[in-house]
Amino acid sequence: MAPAAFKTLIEMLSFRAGQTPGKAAFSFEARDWTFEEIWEGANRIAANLQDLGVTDGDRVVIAIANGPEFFFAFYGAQRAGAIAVPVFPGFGPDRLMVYAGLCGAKAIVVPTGMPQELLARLRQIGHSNHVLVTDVAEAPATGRGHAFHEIEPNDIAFIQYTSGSTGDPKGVQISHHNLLTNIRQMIDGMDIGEHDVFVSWLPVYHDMGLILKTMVPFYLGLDLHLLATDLRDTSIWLKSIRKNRGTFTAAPDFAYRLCLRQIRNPGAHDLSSLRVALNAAEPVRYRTIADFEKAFRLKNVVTPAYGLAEATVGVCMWPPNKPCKVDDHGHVSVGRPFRGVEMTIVDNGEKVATGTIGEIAISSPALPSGYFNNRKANEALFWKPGHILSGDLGYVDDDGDYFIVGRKKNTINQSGRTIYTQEIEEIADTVPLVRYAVALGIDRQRTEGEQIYLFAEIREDETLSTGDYEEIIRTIVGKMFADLGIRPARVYLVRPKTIPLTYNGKFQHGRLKSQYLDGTLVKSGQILYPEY
Amino acid sequence: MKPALDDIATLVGLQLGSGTVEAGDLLVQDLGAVSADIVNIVVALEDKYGIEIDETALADVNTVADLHRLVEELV
Repeated sequence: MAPAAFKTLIEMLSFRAGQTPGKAAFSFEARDWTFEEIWEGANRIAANLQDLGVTDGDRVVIAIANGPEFFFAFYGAQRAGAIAVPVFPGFGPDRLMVYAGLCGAKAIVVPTGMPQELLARLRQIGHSNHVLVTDVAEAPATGRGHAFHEIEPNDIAFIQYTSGSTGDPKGVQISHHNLLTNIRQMIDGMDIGEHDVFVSWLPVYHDMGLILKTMVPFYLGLDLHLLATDLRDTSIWLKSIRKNRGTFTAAPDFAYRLCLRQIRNPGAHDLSSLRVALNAAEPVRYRTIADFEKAFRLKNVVTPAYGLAEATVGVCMWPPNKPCKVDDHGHVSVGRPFRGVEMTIVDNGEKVATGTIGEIAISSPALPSGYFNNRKANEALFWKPGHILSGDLGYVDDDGDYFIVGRKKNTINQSGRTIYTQEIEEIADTVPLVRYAVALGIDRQRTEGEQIYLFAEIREDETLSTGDYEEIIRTIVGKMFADLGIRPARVYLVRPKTIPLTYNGKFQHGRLKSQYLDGTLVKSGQILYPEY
Repeated sequence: MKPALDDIATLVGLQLGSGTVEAGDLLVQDLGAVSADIVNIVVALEDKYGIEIDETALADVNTVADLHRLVEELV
């Protein structure tokens, strides 16, 4: 069987385990995990779930971090005919139960060695919510002797919850057919082949880390070096690339910026084996690409791409090994759609002209059917049958190259002008001592509508005086006026870690806004300056 | 809090990104404020001093010193 014939992920895994049982599916913490071991682990979990009464179509929440047990549970749930629901493993018992409730889960699988008190608490609230809780170690020593149903291509493999900025998670239901189609689109569009060596620290419980960085190499039987998601030390990532001669890695923009901050001696890191360092999942900044490539002596390796869970994951990518294309506003092109994908720029329900900014609509054979059990969200999701609205704003240029300019919701309407928070944030980020900045549109009921309120996290430094704070603010305001011709209504300098992030590192504009408007931000003492 | 002229000048400087604001500076002509900036300065003064500034009172405000006088009357 050639990969092109795989109809389900289970078939893919079973084929790999049968044909190349001793081949490492991935390495993790200095140990290879073979396809046979992953398949065995999946069958053990499937047997356990079946014994617990889990059956076709039941949802099983998987709360496990990067490592072999995640794959045992993720594929084990599917092997048992259930739908896997991977979630952030750092959630506490109450939050886990919220997700279990959202998808109506029958069971939650947690890793071996979860602290006893946490496990006890989880079992206790699981019991009162009729959700079974099991850890990986409870699975029988073998899955043999259990019979499992055949999985169909249109069966839902997993539900991907998207962490919206409003704190209102929605679960995209992704079928085996969706996944295999998108895997093939990405392999084709990114020119992935047997020469590639994958290195990834991305969370395996989230789409880019799961589909692009583990399913794609599993599909082709490529080498994968998987790391924990800990980013306190980005040199671990870079060392793995060098040691394993990695050719393909991926991360959101902030991770590349983090490297520039953390790595004092970029010259000591040889990343010359890299063919593609994908930059996606949050706004791509040209500054990041240029600075990273300069520091690590790379050329046309950091590659902008675009995707979203509502389209399975990958939608388009800039061609690797070609200089980036940057527009007059500093937006970097994310290239052209993958094979079979159609991107349309729409405004008020109509397609707009080339060069005009609008919302990006997407149609693709990999398009999932929508959100799980959420009619209201599904009604808003579709532009027309077969085309979803991404919630992202962008445009296409005369060459047919696409640009993303921001999130539809993260715009500020000031005096009839639409301002993208991303542009403001990028300007503020270049000011010395600023770590991150977030811009919000706040309407103070005066005559001019929404105004820009900027929150800039300042590096911890006890020696900074009020005069220093004032100078930072004046610099930010001056730069913004020089670049955009507008001034913010207010700039707040705040302590590090004030800006709320999602677990995968995206700013939560909505949450910060409510913290500011309800006064909790001021009361928290996190604002350094000014006091009003 | 009694409004000091220096504090008002600093506040205006922060709003406009200017480090050298003098009492006699004209907000629009000298400091380059546009109408949105004036509104934002007013809101910042309201927040800082806990006052409410009637927009009609702004008709007579041209300089930083004018703003100071207005705030003094309201505090």
